[in-house]
Amino acid sequence: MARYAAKRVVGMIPTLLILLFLAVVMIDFIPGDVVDIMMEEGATPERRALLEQALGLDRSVPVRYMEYVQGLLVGDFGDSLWNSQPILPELIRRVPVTIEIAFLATIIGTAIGVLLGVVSAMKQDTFIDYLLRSVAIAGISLPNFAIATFVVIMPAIWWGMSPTLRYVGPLEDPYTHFKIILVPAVVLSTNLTASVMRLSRTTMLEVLRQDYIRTARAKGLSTMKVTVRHALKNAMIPVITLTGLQVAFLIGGSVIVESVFVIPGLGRYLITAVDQRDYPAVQAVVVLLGIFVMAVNLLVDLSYAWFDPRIRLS
Amino acid sequence: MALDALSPVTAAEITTLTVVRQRIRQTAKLARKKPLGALGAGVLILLVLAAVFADIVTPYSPLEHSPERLVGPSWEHLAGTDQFGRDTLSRVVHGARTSLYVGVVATVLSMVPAVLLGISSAFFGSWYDYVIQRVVDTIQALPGLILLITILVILGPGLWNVIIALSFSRAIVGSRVIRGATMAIKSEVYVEAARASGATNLRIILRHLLPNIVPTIIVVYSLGFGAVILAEASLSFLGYGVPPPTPSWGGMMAADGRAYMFAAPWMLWAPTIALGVVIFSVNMFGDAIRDLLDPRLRGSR
Repeated sequence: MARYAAKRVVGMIPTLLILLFLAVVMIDFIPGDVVDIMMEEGATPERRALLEQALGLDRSVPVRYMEYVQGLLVGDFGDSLWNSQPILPELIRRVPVTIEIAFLATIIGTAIGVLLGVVSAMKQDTFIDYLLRSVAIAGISLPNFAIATFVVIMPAIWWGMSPTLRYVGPLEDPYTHFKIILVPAVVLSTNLTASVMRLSRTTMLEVLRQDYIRTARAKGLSTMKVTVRHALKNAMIPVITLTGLQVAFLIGGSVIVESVFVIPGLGRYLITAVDQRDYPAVQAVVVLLGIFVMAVNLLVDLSYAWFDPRIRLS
Repeated sequence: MALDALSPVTAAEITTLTVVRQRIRQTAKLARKKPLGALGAGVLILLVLAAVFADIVTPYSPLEHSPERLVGPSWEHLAGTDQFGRDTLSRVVHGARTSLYVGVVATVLSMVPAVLLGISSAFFGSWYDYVIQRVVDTIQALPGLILLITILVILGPGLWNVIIALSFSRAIVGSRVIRGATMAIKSEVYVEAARASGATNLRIILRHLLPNIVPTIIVVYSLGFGAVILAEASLSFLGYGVPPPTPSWGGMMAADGRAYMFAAPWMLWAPTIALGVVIFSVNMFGDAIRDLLDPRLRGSR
């Protein structure tokens, strides 16, 4: 197992290096003269030179690459163009927020999805099954931002309630904090819940057809015991894989959710950076997110190998 | 033939009619087997018609300001008007045109690089494959929306930049799938046989590989089409998509829709319903196509 893990980690390194490379040369792909675009009027030669230096355009690509990698190793993500402050502290402040919402969304999505999927499988072809399946399909089809927008607006129209859109940290006021992040997390989890529900229904149906289930039932075990003890565990393996892979989508979705619910997370930071053409900040977010997704994929692979010995012995 | 003497209809025309009738019957059979997919296909056809004939179908221009602002649904304006007096229904129908245009162009544009990359990567193998797949890995490590936003930061706003960003993203994803399918086919016996009888690589690709990849391509792109439409809507919602005043469903649901939500909820409802229905239909249609074309993928139903 350790050997498999080591192999996978080593395999990640080229991808990581390419990610950093792409982040560094990102700026070179901007059509037109970046400095001109950003400077507009009142551009003295000194200020132009300063900007060029900040963007790294006065150095060659290999040099910039080495600098960036060296910087990363000590945790220096560079300085934001907007306020000339180091980017790292801002990232440190925002990452936990996004992770918290994504994590909560994952838990909600998986729990509810599995529950609904199992119920749907056990009551196959009944009204409940069709109802749940329709809800699932709707959940996949409606875009995140549509659900988010309506969730923010509908209570205001129906009940005159507007959700608190001022963010409160977990340490300041845990109760309010939880109330604030719960709704965005649920909205974010919609897609995941629907996918998990459909998948667990399918796998559960397949597992329920197996012989060992028939044996268990023939032995006289109650339906509950059969479901939980025997069927569920085996049905969950593909679900775990799916959840792991969906993390990337969750992060993309968090951009929208953070935008609508005004949550100071990584997603909003990216949007702000993009609007301000703060290229170093965009680079930093891209690198961070890329690393995060790669790490999650690695974990998924490792857990998969842990569950299925065939993989790690191949 | 005696038939010629009976009526002015020639034998050729009768054959054509028979063929047409057969095709209709086949289609109807397919539709019965997959009712949801057929429904999806029907909606999509409506979508295409709406998009193509938008100018004729809509009573007003989507850009035309009028003094009737924030008017609710009425006989003159079936879906009400927005803050500039533009007819919401017309904007929604023209939004179909935007979504379809972007979706189709981005998808089609992405096919060539995806096929080239996927097939060459699988076919030539060794370090070429390794390098390309590592780059693909890297790009796929970025969540979809984030990748698109990053590309748009670099390229700047504009309709064509959005299309380029979307096709780039689709091409990367598609190349992976095509590569997988190519590798599966590459090891089939008939390819070995063709090589043994002296066929060149090119011939193998054209005669054996491509025809067998077509089902995979169809499945991937029909499912991917929904993703493209969704992505365009999300980008427009965030403000990075199609620039105003071109109507786009995502854009209509963004600031304007929300700002005027209390005064004019129809501004938000109309594009939302349109978007939801279209994505739902594309998903259903894609699911049906996948089930029909690749029975191996069919889970227990």
